[in-house]
Amino acid sequence: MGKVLRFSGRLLRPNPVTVREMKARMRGPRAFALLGIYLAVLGLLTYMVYVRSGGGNSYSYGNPSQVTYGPTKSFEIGQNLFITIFMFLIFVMALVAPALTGGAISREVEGRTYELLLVTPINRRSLIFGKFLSALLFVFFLALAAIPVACIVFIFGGVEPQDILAGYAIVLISGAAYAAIGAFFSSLIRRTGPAILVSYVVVALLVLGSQLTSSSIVTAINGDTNRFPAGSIRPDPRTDPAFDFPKRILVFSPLASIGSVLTPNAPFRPNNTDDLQYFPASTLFGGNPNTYYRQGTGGQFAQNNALARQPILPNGWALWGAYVLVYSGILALFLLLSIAVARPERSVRHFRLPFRKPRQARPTKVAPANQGHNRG
Amino acid sequence: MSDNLQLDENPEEQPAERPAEQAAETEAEKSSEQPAETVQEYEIPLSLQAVGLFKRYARRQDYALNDFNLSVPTGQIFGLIGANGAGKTTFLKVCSTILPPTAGDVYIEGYSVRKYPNEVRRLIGYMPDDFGLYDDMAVGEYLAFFAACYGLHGKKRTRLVNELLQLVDLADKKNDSLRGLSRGMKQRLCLAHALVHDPKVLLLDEPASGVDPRARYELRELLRELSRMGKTVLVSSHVLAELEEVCDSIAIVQRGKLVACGTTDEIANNFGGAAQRTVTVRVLTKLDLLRAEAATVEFMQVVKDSVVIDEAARRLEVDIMGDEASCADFLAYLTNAGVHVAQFGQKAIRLEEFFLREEAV
Repeated sequence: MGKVLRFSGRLLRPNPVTVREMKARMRGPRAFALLGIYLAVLGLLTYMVYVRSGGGNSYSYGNPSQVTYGPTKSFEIGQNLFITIFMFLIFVMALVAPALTGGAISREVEGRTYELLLVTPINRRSLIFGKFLSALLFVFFLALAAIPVACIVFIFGGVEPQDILAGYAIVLISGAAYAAIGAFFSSLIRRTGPAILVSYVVVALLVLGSQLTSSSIVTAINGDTNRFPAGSIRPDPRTDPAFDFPKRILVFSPLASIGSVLTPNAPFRPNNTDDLQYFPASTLFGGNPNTYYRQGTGGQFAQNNALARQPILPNGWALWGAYVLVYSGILALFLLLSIAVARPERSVRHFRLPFRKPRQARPTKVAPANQGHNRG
Repeated sequence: MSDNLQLDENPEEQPAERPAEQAAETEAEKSSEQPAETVQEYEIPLSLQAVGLFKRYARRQDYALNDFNLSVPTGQIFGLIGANGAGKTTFLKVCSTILPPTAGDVYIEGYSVRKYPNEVRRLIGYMPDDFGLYDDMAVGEYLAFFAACYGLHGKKRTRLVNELLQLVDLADKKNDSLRGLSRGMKQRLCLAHALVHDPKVLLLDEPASGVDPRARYELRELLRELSRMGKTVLVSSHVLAELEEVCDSIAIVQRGKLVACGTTDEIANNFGGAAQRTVTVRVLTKLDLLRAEAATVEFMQVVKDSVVIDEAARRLEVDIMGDEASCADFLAYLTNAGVHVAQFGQKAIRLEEFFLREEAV
C-alpha cells in the first residue's frame, strides 16, 4: 500500500525539468506573441478558404442535386475548411515541435549545464522525458488553441464531431513524433543548430516524402497519374491491385491521413461505377489527400458502397487509424533512441538501450583502509 | 541495519566488491602483533577511496587515469594538484558518476560508483570546472530547481534555498537574474547548488580559477566552514599556493598517476630530497659577499646559473637541489670558506616546479 502511495505521489509530482522548461518558455511576451500570430494566420487562412469555396453565395436554399448550390455546397465548404485547418496544424507541428526539442540535450551541453544535471538523481531518462513533455505540452497547447476555429466547420456540416477528434489524434501524434525526432538528433549531434536542421529534413521526408514516393511509384507503373486510363492501354490506378502498394505507403503521410478521415474506408479499391463516379480524379494516387474526401456527397453514397470496396490495409484499417498506430511506433522508437545516445561519453562499446536493469542487491559498506594505501 | 543484513545474505558478492576492505583486513591480521599505532591507522574512516582506477577515453591510446589509488579520510579538505591534463578533472568526473571507469572502482562512503551510481549521486555534491548557469532564471529559482531535482518541495525547499543563499552570501541577490552575477558570485552559487541535498562529500573542480583574490579568500573561508560542518571536500587546482593554506592533505597528480600524497610538509620531507629550494644568505661585508659567491660556485648542489647577487643589500640568492640537509651543508660550507653569515634562510620549497620539471622529462 505504501509502495502504491509513493508511486502515485511520484506520478503526480511534476518533473522539475518540465516545470523549468515550461517556465522559461512561457516567460515574457514571446510565447504569447507566437500564439497570437499563429491564431491570426489560421483565422485568415480559414476565411480565405471560405471565400474561395464560394461561401459568400447564398447556399441555404436550392436544389440539392446541384453540387454548386444548396446544402451539398455547404457540406463541401465544411470539408474544405476541415482539411485546411488540420493540414495547417500538421505544418505547425512539423515546424514547431523539432525546434522545441532540437535543443533538449544540445542546449544543456552547449550551456555547460549537462553535467550539473547528470550528477543529480535526474537521470538521462527523466531528463529527456522532461524536455519532451514540456515541448509536447506547448505544441498541444498550440493545437488545442485552434479548437474554436476548427469548430467553425460544424456551421457548414459535412464533418462529424468524431472526424474532428480523429483529426486531433493525427495532429497530436504527429506533434509528439516530431518532438521525439528533434530530441533524438539533439542527443546524437549535441549541437542545437545542426540538430534542428537534420530533424527538419527527416520530418519533411515523413510529411512530403511518403506522398512523393507514392505518386512516383504510381507514375512508374501507369506512365501517367493524371489521366483516365485510355481503354486497356494503361491500368486504372483506382481499380488495379498493382497500385495497392503505393496506396499503403501513404500510412506515413499525415496529409493523406487527414484526407482519409472524411473517407472512412480509404484507401480501398473501388469495385463499382458509383465509387468511380465519386472518386473521379486519379490524383488520389498522386498523393493529393483531397481526393479522399467525399466531394459533395455528404456521405450518402460512400456508405452505400462500403461493402463493395476491398480494403487494402490489414483488417480493413482506415488510413488515419493506421497512421496513428505507425506514428506511435515512430514516437516510441525515437524516444528510446534519444535516451540511449544521451550518455555523456559515447562510444560503440558503451551503447546500451535504456531498458531497466534488473534490481541489484543493496550496497555493502567498505571498511576503512589504511591511509598509506595512497600510492601511485 | 538493513545493509548489514543484506551483507550477510550475499556473502559471495563481497569479495568482488570490497577489494580494499579485504586488503585492509589481511594487512590488519598480519600486523596484529605490531604496535598499536599501526592498527589505529586502519580505523580512520574514509569518505572516498579509489582502487586501481583506470580511465581511457574512447578512441584514445593513452590512459587519462593510470592505476590511480587514493584514500580521502572523512572530514578532510583534500587538495588535488596537477598540471592541466594531468587527470584531475577525469578523476572527479569518475567520482561523480559522469564518466564510467575503464577499470578499477571508486567508493564514496562505501558505495561503488560503478554499481550504485544513484546512491553515490545522493552522497556527492559536484561543482565542475567549466559550468554554465541557466541565464533565464533568478538566483533563488536556480537553487529551487536543483532542490526539486533532489526531490525537495514546498516549505522545506524554500527554507533550504534561503539558508544556502545565506551561507554563500547571496541572500540579497535572491530575485536577481543570473545574467548579472560576477564570476565570483557564480562560483559561490554553483557551490551552493552542490549543497542543496546536504551531501557528505564535495567534489570541487578548480573552484578558485579565474576569480579575484578576495573571492578566493571567501572561497577558502567557505571551504573551512564546510569542513567544520563535517563534510569531506575534495578540491582540485593546478596551483598549489591556492590550496596550501586551506587543505589538510594534498595529492599531486601527474599523467593520470598519483605521485605524492600527504600534508605539504610530509611531501616536502619525502620528496624534497630532490626538490629545488631557494636559499637566501645575507653577509656582513662586501668581501664576505665575494667569498660567498666564490664558495657557492664550488658547492656541488647549487643549480647552475641560479645565483642572484644584490650588492646593496649584501644578499645572495641561490637555488639548491636537495633536502634540508643539503641546505645545512651549504651553510657549513660557507662558514668554512670564511664567510660571516648574518642571515640564512630557506625561501620556498618549489615542489610544483619539481613536479612540473619531472613531467616535462
